[in-house]
Order: sequence, then structure tokens, then C-alpha cells
Amino acid sequence: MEPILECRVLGKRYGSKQALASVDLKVERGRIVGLLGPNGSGKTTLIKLATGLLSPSAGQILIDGKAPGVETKELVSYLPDRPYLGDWMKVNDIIDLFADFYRNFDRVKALEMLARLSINPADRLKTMSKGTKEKVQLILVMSRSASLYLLDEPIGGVDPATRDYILSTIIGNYSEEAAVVISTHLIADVERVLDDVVFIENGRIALSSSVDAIREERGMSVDALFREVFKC
Amino acid sequence: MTWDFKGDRPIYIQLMEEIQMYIVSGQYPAGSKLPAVRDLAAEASVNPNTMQKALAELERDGLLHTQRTAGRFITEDQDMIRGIREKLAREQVDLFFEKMGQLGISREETLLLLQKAADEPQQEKESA
Amino acid sequence: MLKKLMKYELRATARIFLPFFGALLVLSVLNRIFYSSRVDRMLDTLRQNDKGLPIEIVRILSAVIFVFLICAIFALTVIVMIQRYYKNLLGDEGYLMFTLPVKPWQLITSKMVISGMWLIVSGIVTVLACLLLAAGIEDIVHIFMEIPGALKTADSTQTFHNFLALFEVGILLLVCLCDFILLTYAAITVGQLWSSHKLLGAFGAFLALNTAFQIVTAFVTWAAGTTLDHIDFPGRWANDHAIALIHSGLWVVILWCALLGAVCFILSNQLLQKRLNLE
Repeated sequence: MEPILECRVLGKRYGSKQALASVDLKVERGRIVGLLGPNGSGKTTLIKLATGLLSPSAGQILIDGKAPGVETKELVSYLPDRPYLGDWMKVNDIIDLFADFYRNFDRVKALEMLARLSINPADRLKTMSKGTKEKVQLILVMSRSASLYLLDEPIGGVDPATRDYILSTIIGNYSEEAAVVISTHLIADVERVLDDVVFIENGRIALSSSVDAIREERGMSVDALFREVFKC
Repeated sequence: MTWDFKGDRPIYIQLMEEIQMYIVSGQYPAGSKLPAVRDLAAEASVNPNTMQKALAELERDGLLHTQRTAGRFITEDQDMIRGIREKLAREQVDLFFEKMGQLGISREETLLLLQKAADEPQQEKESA
Repeated sequence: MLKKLMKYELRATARIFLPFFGALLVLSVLNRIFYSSRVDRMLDTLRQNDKGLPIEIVRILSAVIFVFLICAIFALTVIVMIQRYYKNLLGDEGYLMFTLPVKPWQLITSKMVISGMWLIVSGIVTVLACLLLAAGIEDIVHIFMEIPGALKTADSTQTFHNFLALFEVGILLLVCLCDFILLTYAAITVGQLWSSHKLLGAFGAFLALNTAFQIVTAFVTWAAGTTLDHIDFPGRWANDHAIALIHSGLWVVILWCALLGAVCFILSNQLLQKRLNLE
């Protein structure tokens, strides 16, 4: 079976700034992968290339063997690093929208998750706190049975309780058919959730390994290794 | 029941140790059915693949066995569980001696201290 | 998918426009009351006692607001047209729109159709409001009933040509409207190629595209004119075929405008498909 996500000498430049350079990467189904790196290292750029929001400057990025397009957008469920839903909309409106456009969206699941967090679907996003909005976005994204989840900084800027909720949602949603890519710089929190980690430094892959291998071979946690690799 | 992990060893090994503890202490009784991987993973808030790996290792050791449709069960072999209990206890004792050795206390002195502590359990608990 | 996109586009824009339309229609009725002969007579009596000022102020104010509202609605349709493309597609909301399983041309078309619709509806509502101001509902119905009569003549062929010309002019207006929208979209899409100064880029692209189209149009017109000059038509040919010439002339202009619109559409579509960069 094709890897669900594959990069071949992928490069991206913004004007004169090289954001990603010769990235080779494969993500298999059933894996939870951490995309780790300091701010501005190229994590978001890589994820946005996979969603098709950015076009590559060099190389290729393939989702299930296909370049980003209508077909891959059906497979990919993407949580951006920013609020991206119209503020004036009610949660119900957005649920309708997701259900209308994504065949793999599970409305019942979304409503259950909202109810568990006592978020009223009749509320407008405008009236919600930043944390609640982020939870709504995550719920929508996780309520799709996608083949590839791309979560850009899902736990940045939320309180520890919400962080736990988000991580348990990701674990609870695990499927052997789907891969999850989580970008973050808060490694200690996500380490136990990950199968593999990819370290990105200045747009290049500094290290790609399984969490077990790092702990077995180096006798240290990924968090400790990260601090060593990216020591200032 | 929260599961804490140390940084220096693979998480699946630490999961194996935790589950062994639950079995030895009787929290998971011999012969009983183990919760599903997904639920165990959620409880420990770890990746289901990691939990799967830990369970597979325990299965190889014979502590767990899978019944095709019914799920995963804990062994009914009491001797095996007793053996593991002994092994774990032995590890703790060795570790204890090692620590005392680091403090410069000999094995004999350690035994005396242990005897003393065992004789006055109430006081020990209060001062602890 | 296109239908669904249009449904959400309509929903997102209706909440902006409908209150304005409602306000305008209410104001036109109010103005009609304020300027009715009954109020005139009342005002005359009040003036004699030097108490007419409040009513005069209300009269002037409601008239000013009415005119202001009409201007605001047209400004609004253009602003919303730009904003729905610039913000909803190329801003943060684009993170959703471009991760939906739809093609760029569907996004462009849905925006164009709904924007065009609002421009037309704004025009209709304004005309309606002005008519309400001046005439009653029966009068308005009467005016529209008269239109077919005005085009009808004793000669049925002539009548046919009148209706056909009306239809052609309608199509031409529609195509020009789409041209305007698509040119704006193309300019905004070209503008986003620059990593900074996107709006300035869009403005520059608008001027550049517009100028280019005008030059090309002027050149084609000149070339066509020169060619026709060299053809030796028989003496009375043009007179005999005057009607056919008018129709075909209109269609040539329609097709030419449609061609320019298509260029803009294809340009936007290609850029969104191959060079999208949401930062």
C-alpha cells in the first residue's frame, strides 16, 4: 500500500527565504507522527503543502500517491494553527457545512463530543472564548473519518486540562487506517502519544525515528533529545 | 490511577511493568479478561500502537493469551504469577540494598534497621 | 458541489444585504408619507405658528438618509464582492474553503454568481424604492405592464426585433457585469502572488489588466474597421440589412466581452490551482 503521505525532495521558498529544502519523508497509515521543531522551522509550511494551501517550489508531495487536489482533500482532515471559521456562524451552521461537503463527516459523533464539553451547538463562534473555539475546530476535524489528520499546533495556547482532552481525543480516535501528524514544540506533553518523530530544523529534516528507538538507543526521552539537538 | 513514565526507557517496557504490577497485585485477577487495547491506551493516555506492543510482549512471556474472538485474557497459571511477584519483589530488595550501600550502610546493618522498623510500624508511618 | 457552495455564499452575504434592502424600502415609504399632501397641509398650518421646524428637519433628514442609503448599497455590493473573494478565499477563511473537496473554478463561479446576483438585486431594489417614493404599488404594476406594449408595433417582424434587441442588450449587460467581477477577481488573484503588499499588487494588476484589455479592444476595433473599409459593399446593402447588422453587431460585442471575461476566469483558475500560496 502507498504511504499515506510522501515527500520527495520537497522544497518551498517564500521570495528569497528557503522555508523547506529537500525534504524526504514517508508516513504510513496507522502511525501517529510528531512533527517537532522550534518556531519558524518549517512545520506549518510542510503541513500546508500537504493540504494544498501552498504550492511546492521544488520536488513533490503526495497524499496516498496523488498530488494535492479534490481527491486528496477528501482524505485529509486539517486543523490549522489559527481560527479559520467565519465568526458569525453558529456551530450548527458549520456542522451543516462539514456534513454537506465531506462525505466522511460524522455528525452524530461531532454532536456527542460537543455535548460532552457542554458546548451549545446553537451558539455563535463570536460569543466563544479562544479555547472553546479551538475545541470546536478540533471536534469538527476529528469527527471526520479521514485517512490523514494534519494537526498544526493543536495543543499550543490551551490550558493543561484542555491539552489532556485534546490528546485523549486523538488517542480515542485512533484507527489503523489513518495516520495522524501533529506539529508542536510542546514535546513532553505529546511524547507518549507518538509512534514516530520527525525533527525539523531550518527547513530540513534533522532526525526521523521512532520514539522507542530513541529511548532504547540513546536512553533519553524525545523531549531531552530535542533539547540537546536544538540547544541554543 | 495515573500512569507516569520515565524518560530513559521505552514507554512500552514501562507499560509492561505497570501491567505486571496490576496482575501481581490482583487488580487484574488471574484468568480475567483484559480491557481492549484502545481503552487501555486511552486510560494510560498512550498511543494504541505502544500499548499493543506492550501487550504483545507480555503475551510472548506467557502472562497474557489471546482467544481469537473473545479478546485478551490474563493467565490462569498461579505459579507463573507467583514467580513474577517473587521476581519483582527481589528486584525491589536488590534496589533497596543498593541504595543503602550508597549511604554506606552494610547488609547486616540494613537488616537490623529493617527489623527495627518492622517492630514499630505505627511510629514509622507517623514519622514518614 | 457548486450548488452547495452557492448556498453557503448566499447565506453568508444575505445577512449583510437584506437589512439594507429592508431599511431602504421602509425609508422610501416613510419619505412618501413625509412628503404627502396631507403633511404639506399640516406643515402650512404649523408654519403660521412658527412650529414647522421639527417636521422640516425630519423631512430633510429622511430624504438625505434615503439618498445616502442608495449610495451605501452600491458601495456595499462592490465592497462585499471584493471582500468575499479576498477574505473568504485568500484570507484565513481560505484555510477552510481550499481544503473543501471542491475545484477552484467552482469557488470562483459560486462567488461570481452570487456577487452578480446581489448587484442586480441592488439595482432592482433601488429602482423599486424610487418608484415607491414617487408612485403607489398599483402605479408600479401599471408601469411594468406598459413595457411590452411600448415594444409592440403593428408590424410583427418589427416587434420581434424589438424584443430580440432588448434581450441582447440584457445579455450584454449581464456579460459586462460578469466581466467587471471576473476582472476584479483576477486582479486580486494576481495580487496574492506577491508575498507582501497584496492589495497594492491587486490594485496594480487591476489597472494593468484593464489597460491591456482596452488596448487590445481598441486594436481589434481598428483592425476590424480597416478591414471592413476595404470591402466594397454594394450601394444599398447596408440599408437593406440594417436590422441584421444591429443584431450581429450586438452579438460581436457580447462575444468579445465574454472572451475577456473568460480570459480573467481562466487566469484566476490557473493561479488558484497551480500557484496558491496562503500565508
